[in-house]
Amino acid sequence: MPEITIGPVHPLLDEPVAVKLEVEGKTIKAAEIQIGFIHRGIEKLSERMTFEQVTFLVERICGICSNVHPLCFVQAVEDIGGIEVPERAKYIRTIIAELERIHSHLLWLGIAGHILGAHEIFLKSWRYREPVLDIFELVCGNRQNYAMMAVGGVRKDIPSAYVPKIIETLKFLKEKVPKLAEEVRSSLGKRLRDIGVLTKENAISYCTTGPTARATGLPIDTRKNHPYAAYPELEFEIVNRDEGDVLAQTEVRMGEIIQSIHILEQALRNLPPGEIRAEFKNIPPGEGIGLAEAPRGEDIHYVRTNGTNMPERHKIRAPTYVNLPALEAMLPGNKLEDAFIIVASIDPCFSCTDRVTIVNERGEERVVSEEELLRMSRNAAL
Amino acid sequence: MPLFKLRKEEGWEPPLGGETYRGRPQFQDACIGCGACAEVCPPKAIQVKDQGDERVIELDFGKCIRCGQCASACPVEGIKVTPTDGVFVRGEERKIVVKRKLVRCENCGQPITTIDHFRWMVERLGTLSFSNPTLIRFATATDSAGPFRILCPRCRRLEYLSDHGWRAKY
Repeated sequence: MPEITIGPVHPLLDEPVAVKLEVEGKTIKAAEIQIGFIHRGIEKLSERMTFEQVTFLVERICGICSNVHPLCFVQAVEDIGGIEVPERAKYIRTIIAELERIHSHLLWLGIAGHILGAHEIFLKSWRYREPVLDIFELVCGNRQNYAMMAVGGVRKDIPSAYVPKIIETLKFLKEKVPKLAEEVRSSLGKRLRDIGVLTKENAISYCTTGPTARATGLPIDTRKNHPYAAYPELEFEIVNRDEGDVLAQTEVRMGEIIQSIHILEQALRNLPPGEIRAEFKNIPPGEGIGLAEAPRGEDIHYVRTNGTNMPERHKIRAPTYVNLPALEAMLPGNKLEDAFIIVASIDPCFSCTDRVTIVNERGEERVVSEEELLRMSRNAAL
Repeated sequence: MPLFKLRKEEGWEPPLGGETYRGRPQFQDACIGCGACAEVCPPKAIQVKDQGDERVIELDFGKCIRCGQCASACPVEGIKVTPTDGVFVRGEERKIVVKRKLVRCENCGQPITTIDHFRWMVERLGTLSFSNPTLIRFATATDSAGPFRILCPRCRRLEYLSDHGWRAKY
């Protein structure tokens, strides 16, 4: 069967990934995803940096979700140290995380429009994303890489003078986003319906998270299942669709923007006064896990400490790492021209994902049998 | 008059962000040369070098990620985040340097810290600074050395151990 390889360097892809497609005519029969082109050794680097410095390192894992990785990391460290975060800091964390979700989903919609040739949607969604980035510059000092998270709280306060400006932007978005969603449904609905279908069974067996899973009818959301920051006190819904196709994913994301605006309005109204950062002395030896709902799905950071001010082990599992294999179930059966939007539909972030590259220097391939695997596992335990 | 000002000679100026924009950090005159900014800098863009009787603190904009940790760690307002930015830096623009006078141990010659840092410590400690023979030198207004010697913590401890502090003090 003829094979078509897209990437790793391709003008339509922002990040390096190789998609190998086996085609019959124009129909995709099988797909194979290769990652590992943008591995930067962040986990190893973080073992030589203090907790304060690692926060800035993990912020640079991804340019789009540059809040969720530091948030996860500081939550993991707070888990080890048993640090109680002040209420105001929790609310500020929620506000930054939700603003990030809005800008990430709008960015995704713009890229989807760009891939499909719907440039009006691309221009409109990026036009609506701009005021959100202006808020980030006002509040945090930068459009990206906000540098807001710190172990024990947040680094910067949101002064009350900025709150009306944020609410004004939210009003603007509340008016524009439903219109944009309607426009997407009417102009791209036919194009996106019934392509890249992921069934509920596959979504479970591939362990997908985030909008990819929610579009198949799975009501999973870290904000509800493992509440963190100020989410337990705020009211919101999990946006669900049952179809599992690309249109359902788009609708889930648009619905999440509306939910985020709803969360932000509550958080800004109930912003409690007080300290923004808890003081702590030492981080004791131990293990901790930080969870957060990134715009793409569930993000997990595992940190092990040994009593020093640096992590002994830092494991990062970004949402794309679990969503990406689901493409192998989504791609077969579709037309070749739909391959791009299906790859883009999970909102992949390869910079987040590439953690470990296995390089076999001799180029040998080996199949490990079950007995061998069991033996290895039993020997390791001894 | 060129339409686009792309070079410095044509009148190009680094773009200014909003008031709250986190741009390039700049050293201020208030800098005491303690090196706290270099300790916390995540990409190690700030380096402290002790050369002769000078401490040179170097900030490399090519490495700087504009996180503002240096400004928040500074005990005085010695380094500040400014709204100025320019991503592309080259040549002389790439590094800014601040120099402060260094104090060395009179016994072993190891650098201790800067004069300004000592004076800042004395200011903070008040009368408590008379408990440390090295600090007494900076606590008194006179320039004369007096009977006290400037010693690094290691030498001070060694001398205390060897003769009950007689030589360390005088």
